[in-house]
Amino acid sequence: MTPDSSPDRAHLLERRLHDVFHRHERSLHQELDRLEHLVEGLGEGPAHVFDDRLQEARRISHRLTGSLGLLGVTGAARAAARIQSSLHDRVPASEVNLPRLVRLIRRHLERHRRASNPPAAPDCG
Amino acid sequence: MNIDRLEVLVVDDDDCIREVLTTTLEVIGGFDVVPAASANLALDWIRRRRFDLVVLDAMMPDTSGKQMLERLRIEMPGFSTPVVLVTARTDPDDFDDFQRLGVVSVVTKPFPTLEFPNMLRQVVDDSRLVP
Repeated sequence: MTPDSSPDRAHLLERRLHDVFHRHERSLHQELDRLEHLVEGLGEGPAHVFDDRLQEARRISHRLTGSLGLLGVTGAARAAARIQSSLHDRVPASEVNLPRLVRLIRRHLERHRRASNPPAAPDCG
Repeated sequence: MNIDRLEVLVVDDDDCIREVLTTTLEVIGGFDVVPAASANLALDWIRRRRFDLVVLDAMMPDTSGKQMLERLRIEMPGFSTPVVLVTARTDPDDFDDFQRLGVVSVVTKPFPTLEFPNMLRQVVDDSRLVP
């Protein structure tokens, strides 16, 4: 086989990546649940708890940025990157609404799922 | 440009990313891809088989990409396969270390998947020009 970036191959790749997305959709949502829980509780508890939560939230947002971007869910990847950089720079909660960004990622995932599962065409005749 | 079928080892602990990379390199690049979910699995493959290229995730939980390359240098000092490091965060301070360990290119996630296979092929072609 020779390398080929023809539209057919790009289309085949798009379909295959949708399959990958569907296989991992549940785990992406589980990571989002965990991230949401972490960022909502970031201001609570003693310093070491804060640090642990921050580290884990950074790891999850880092993973999500990579996987969502590579899967082509670009809006979600942008939101995940924003969370990642906010956590890295310790941007105060008054300046960035992290739970809202998590919800935005969910909406993008839902839209992507619907786009990759178009309704069946009506029967003709 | 070379159009032979490249044998590529993809090392990433994230199942989803590993699958995306493998799929993209197979479908668009026509590469022969071996996926490895950890540095230890990757080292096992490298001991047994010769690859044209290694695509390596920088951040893995048990053994990082850098630690894997350090082990490889000790175990196989003559290892000359080019390594492309994939990372979500770029820290210029690390570049020199990575270069010393055989990394020829650093790619920041996310990147345009369609262009990735050609980029890797170029890396392999360039590395073959070096005597």
